[in-house]
Amino acid sequence: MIIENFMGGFDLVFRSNALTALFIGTLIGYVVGAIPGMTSSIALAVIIPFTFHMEPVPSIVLMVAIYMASEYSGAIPAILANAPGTPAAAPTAFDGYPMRVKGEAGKALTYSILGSGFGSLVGTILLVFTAVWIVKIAIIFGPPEYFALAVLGLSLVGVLSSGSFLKGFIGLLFGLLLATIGLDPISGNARFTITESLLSGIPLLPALIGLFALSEVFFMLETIRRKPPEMKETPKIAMSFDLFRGMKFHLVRSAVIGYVIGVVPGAGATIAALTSYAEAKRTAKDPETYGTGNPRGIVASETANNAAVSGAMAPLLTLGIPGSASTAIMIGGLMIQGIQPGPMLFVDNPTFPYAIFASLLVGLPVMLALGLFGIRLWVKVTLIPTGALATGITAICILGAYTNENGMYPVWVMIIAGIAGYLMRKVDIHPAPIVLALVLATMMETNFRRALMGNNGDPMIFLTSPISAVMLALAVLVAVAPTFRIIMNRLKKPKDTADA
Amino acid sequence: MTSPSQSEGEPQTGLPQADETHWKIGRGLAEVLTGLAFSAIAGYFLLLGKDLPDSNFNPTDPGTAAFPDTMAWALLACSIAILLFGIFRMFSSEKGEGISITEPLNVIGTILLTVLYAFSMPFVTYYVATIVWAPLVLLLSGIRSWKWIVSLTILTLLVAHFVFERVLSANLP
Repeated sequence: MIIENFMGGFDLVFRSNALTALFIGTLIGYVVGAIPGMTSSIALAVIIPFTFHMEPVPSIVLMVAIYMASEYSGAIPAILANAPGTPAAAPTAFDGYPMRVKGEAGKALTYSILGSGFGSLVGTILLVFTAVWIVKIAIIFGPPEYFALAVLGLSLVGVLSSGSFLKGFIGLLFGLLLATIGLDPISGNARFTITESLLSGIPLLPALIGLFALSEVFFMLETIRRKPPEMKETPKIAMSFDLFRGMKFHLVRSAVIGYVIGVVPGAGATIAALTSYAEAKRTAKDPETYGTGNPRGIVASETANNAAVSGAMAPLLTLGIPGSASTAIMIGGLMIQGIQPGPMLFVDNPTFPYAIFASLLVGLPVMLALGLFGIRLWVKVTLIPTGALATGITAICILGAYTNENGMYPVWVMIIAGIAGYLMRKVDIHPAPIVLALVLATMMETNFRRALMGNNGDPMIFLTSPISAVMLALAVLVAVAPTFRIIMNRLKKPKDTADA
Repeated sequence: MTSPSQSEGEPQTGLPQADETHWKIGRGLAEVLTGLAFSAIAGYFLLLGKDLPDSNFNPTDPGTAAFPDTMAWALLACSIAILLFGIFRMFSSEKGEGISITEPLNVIGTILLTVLYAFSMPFVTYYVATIVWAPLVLLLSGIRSWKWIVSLTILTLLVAHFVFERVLSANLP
């Protein structure tokens, strides 16, 4: 069955425009990853309007390619200028930059690109098998389980807000409230529709563009006087698989760590890379060489962060739960295409998720080739002035929002979301919980009410269903864990000071 | 304070420069303002939620207002909590790092220009509005080379025409 679906997926990739989308997405991802300060979530928010007129498969392939390629190329400025292009490339700089200082930049880049490729390959293989396994469980879900799943997804707010849990929770509740504007999904009654345009709710796409892309433009404008990282030399790639001799176990371990952490919603590529790096150092015979230019450090970080990207696709495709800002935007993009990710996607339209798996495999050589042979171009990309970048992104944001409904209403929504996003980010309220809420609110409310109506209004149904009870318990754990960690750290600090 | 990107663990682009201008407010005051703003939003939803109809087809349905009401009450509780934290911080010795806007004139100028741009677009057409807006925003963004300004403005217009109008069938004003 898997092989049959895979063949269907490959067929869809080769027959549709998915290959072109893959190539363009990879190029955009490389550019985005190579520019410190730009993230895949900004690029995804900006690119969604371009997917309106695309078929669903090329559209998701484009988004996945951007997401993956940006993780590949984040290592380039990390190695050449000690300025990681993406957060997940930060541990790559620990050893990559010292290697560049020693005059081994080409070697360091080869380790990073080939390590990334290996991570993607192993991650994709693991994704296929775990996705099938998760779907087998999720297929029996009813309203109580779906409600619990939505609550579990929302509980990630503590992880996504990565600072004050209270502020993350405020963002989440604000997003949930915004999502109730429009028609009630059960009774059809209008809620909070002060104007007729609000009957269909807050338009998701302009809100996404504003919260992620336009608000980032305002942050970029704060740094226009700062000098970009210097990358004077353009290194030559030392293409050789011999470099990886004796690293087989190291590569596999890093990929598995990356994938497993990637699957955990909210953890993401950055935590995967840091954990893999720490584990490599902990188990090394020469831990003192880590941080001074040990290639194993680069391999540990890059293999893990790319495997984590495949891992993040598992909860997204099988459960419809975004585990990061980027995957939340990708779900938004899929919903605009009329596709609801989740277990039923594998039942109703199995070739679609398999086309994504196939594109991940087909994309691998494209990403490796662009990484290995396009290095001169990616170095040049970092020289684009911030002001030019900010103006260009604003122009595309406005055009993209306008295209949503061919009118000015979404443009105003986007501008308001952008200004609100900027101000909220200033007070440490990150937009990711808001987007998570906008994506999951309908699933949460609809299934909560359906579960109650199906059980004569008895709320105990959420605890008598074992799957629902486990997920709700997990949600409480996930939500409370960051706060618990902060309290523990605070309690520990005075003790450490006293010991010192 | 962390920048948005930093909250995802991202490094800053370049180092802060000595001649940068900053607008700063204390963290406590910022938290008080945040609490007030979100309390107002929650209150607004609670007020409008009063007029929402009950579910009229199934007595076991919690109703149209139940979900938004619960969220609004929770938001109000969290907003009051952050407000109280802010007041406590203002009068405590641990003030925390302030909230600052670097290069505020550039940021506010760009926001105002973008609002004016969106407002004027339906009246003067997209292309005329862009010819005025793009060079002004580029200047505010620190681009001084007229070659960059002219070429980026033309590029924006070309992308709008060929990609958005021709390919994506957008009917630009």
